[in-house]
Amino acid sequence: MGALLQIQDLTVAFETDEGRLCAADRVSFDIEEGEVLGLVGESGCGKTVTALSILRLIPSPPGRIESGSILFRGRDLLALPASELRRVRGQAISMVFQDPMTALSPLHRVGDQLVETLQLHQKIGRRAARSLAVEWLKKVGIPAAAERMDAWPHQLSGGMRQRVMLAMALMLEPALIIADEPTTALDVTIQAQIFNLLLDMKDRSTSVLLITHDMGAVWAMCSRVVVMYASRVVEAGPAEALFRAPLHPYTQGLLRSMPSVQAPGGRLEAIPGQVPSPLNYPTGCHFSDRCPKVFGRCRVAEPPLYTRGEGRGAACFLLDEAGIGP
Amino acid sequence: MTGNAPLLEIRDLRTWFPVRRGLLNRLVGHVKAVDGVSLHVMGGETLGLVGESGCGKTTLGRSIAGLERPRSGQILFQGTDMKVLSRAERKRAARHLQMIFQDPAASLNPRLTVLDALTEGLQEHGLLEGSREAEGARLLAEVGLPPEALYRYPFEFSGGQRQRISLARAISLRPALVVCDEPVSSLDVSVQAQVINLLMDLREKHRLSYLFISHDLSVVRHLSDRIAVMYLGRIVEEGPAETVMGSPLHPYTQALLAAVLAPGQPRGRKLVLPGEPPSPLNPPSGCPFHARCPKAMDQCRLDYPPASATETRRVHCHLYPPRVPDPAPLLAP
Ligand SMILES: Nc1ncnc2c1ncn2[C@@H]1O[C@H](COP(=O)(O)OP(=O)(O)OP(=O)(O)O)[C@@H](O)[C@H]1O
Ligand SMILES: Nc1ncnc2c1ncn2[C@@H]1O[C@H](COP(=O)(O)OP(=O)(O)OP(=O)(O)O)[C@@H](O)[C@H]1O
Ligand SMILES: [Mg+2]
Ligand SMILES: [Mg+2]
Repeated sequence: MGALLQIQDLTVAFETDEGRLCAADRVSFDIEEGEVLGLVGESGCGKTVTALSILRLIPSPPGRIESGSILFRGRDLLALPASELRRVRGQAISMVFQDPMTALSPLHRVGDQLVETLQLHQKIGRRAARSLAVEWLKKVGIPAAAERMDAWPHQLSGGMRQRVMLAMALMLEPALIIADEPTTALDVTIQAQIFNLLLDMKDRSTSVLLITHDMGAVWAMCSRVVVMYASRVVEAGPAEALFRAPLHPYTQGLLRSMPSVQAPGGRLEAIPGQVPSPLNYPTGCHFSDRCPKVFGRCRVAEPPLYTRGEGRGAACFLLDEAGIGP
Repeated sequence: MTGNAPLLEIRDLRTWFPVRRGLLNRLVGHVKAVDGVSLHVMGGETLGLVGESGCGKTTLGRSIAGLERPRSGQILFQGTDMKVLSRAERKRAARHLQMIFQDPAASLNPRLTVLDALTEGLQEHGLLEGSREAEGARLLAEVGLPPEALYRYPFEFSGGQRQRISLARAISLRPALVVCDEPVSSLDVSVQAQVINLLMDLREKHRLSYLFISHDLSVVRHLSDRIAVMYLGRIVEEGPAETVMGSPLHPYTQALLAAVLAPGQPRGRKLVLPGEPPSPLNPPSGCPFHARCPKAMDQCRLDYPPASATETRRVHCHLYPPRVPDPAPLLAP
């Protein structure tokens, strides 16, 4: 299967009082047809900024996409005229936002918002749109779906709002769903419902970009993983291989520091230090000040992505030392 | 602390919140956030408390720490009922029971320097030996922060550092029990492990007991000796960590465990519970879990299941025959 979306050298920066803040630094990765790709990383590493760039939703000013291209079925979204971009949004690519209230209007009933979205993107009568909307509310596991059509967003629990958002994104049957932390605010049992739904979509050959900070969720859901740290992609590869033998010391540290439900226990192998401020990233490799394997080059030069077999790669000079070329 | 008496014992505790509506502010009901909870924590032991959002974990923790007024039931701390104490006595007892919160901002006053925050309690209780600076620096060293931090304000620190400072403050009064409400949930993943390690180090060094509240089963499993599972204001299962996690009895505990996402667990689709937790304003009759339970029987809709208990383990579910363990351990007067 080929790439549905190709992000190449995407750089996004914000103008702040303290100067230029680079939120995404030459980010590159592909999303294949019909796969669930995980984009993981800690708070502030640039996941949401990368996702918003795909639909050109970066607030500007203060933000600016400084360079790069995002090819969707071969066409550069960053160069698309506004009218065509509108058609892509919602119809071909839809997004589930981190905060459901940003996408639901507090002033309109849930049902009206669903119907309106459907009618905006499809030739469909009001009555047919309504019954389709109810059907999707049922699919996302909302009890008493027909009655809930008349509810206001504030009358729903956080979990239900998240599911309404999901229904809104799924019912257009897009080619790509970008789900930004779709379950962070939800309980584990509700999270499982939503993840099952995303897997159903995948089976109908929709691609999913799942953004999360939870390595456990990536393990359960994703065929491939892209790991970001401090505005850059540090590792990418098939999930199974990445979890079995992570290449980058940051990924290694993250996986080792996780407590486990099975093994009880002793001290965890924590990564020392803390995530640096985006205005103050170290020179060279951004992980160099916390890396247990740091050596001379890491503090001066930025490691490129060294690729390995099975579509794996990591931005770490250790791979170069091991004789693996970029 | 003598023999086998628990450090903390809670008996049939209820903390309800009144719900008022309309112009007349009429009482229309109660949110039964904690509705008949019995639990105990032994000296030096960590009890993990898990359950979904809104099940009453924070309210239970706050009730124990004296921050909510329970409607009924008893809280015995070091053998004495907090309710019968005089104000001064209660203050003295409360020193041994501290609480830290998910959002460290809730335990740290933004206008106090770290030095003030750390030594405030010591001065109040007349426990300050030597200079404030020396004591403050010693406490910071315990949580792995440099003495320069004393003269800065909470907002100047990262989330992980702030959580370290609230821990330093909590242990400043040499408590016996610390109620930890989601202390690592808001932290960066790479920093979470550091704070978990710190919690373990402090526990060992000061023989602390924790009531450790979290919705993250992996974290709770890692830190706890025993685990209690809460659903809609009640404890549905309780027992040693490895048995509760290794062979859960209650269908709700089983569902929680099946939904855990972690490397090493099965990948792909999960078995899911239908629906979501009912409202604590209108709890269903019988077992509060019956509407979502894959094993519900007629009886479950009618009666609240009594305890089926052994010496170390307890479950409230009609699947198991009611059983009370042999004579309950006598409490020190
Ligand atoms: N509108 C904005 N103005 C200024 N800086 C911004 C803006 N939006 C994002 N940033 C900065 O860009 C960086 C990346 O932010 P982003 O929201 O992509 O992080 P994230 O990986 O999604 O984190 P989280 O897991 O917390 O959602 C952060 O340092 C953030 O402060
Ligand atoms: N001060 C209050 N007044 C009224 N209702 C309250 C109050 N505090 C909590 N509640 C309600 O009591 C119930 C239990 O809340 P609590 O915060 O104890 O749950 P929790 O288990 O800590 O949830 P979470 O995992 O989301 O922190 C909820 O329904 C909540 O809305
Ligand atoms: Mg984000
Ligand atoms: Mg809580």
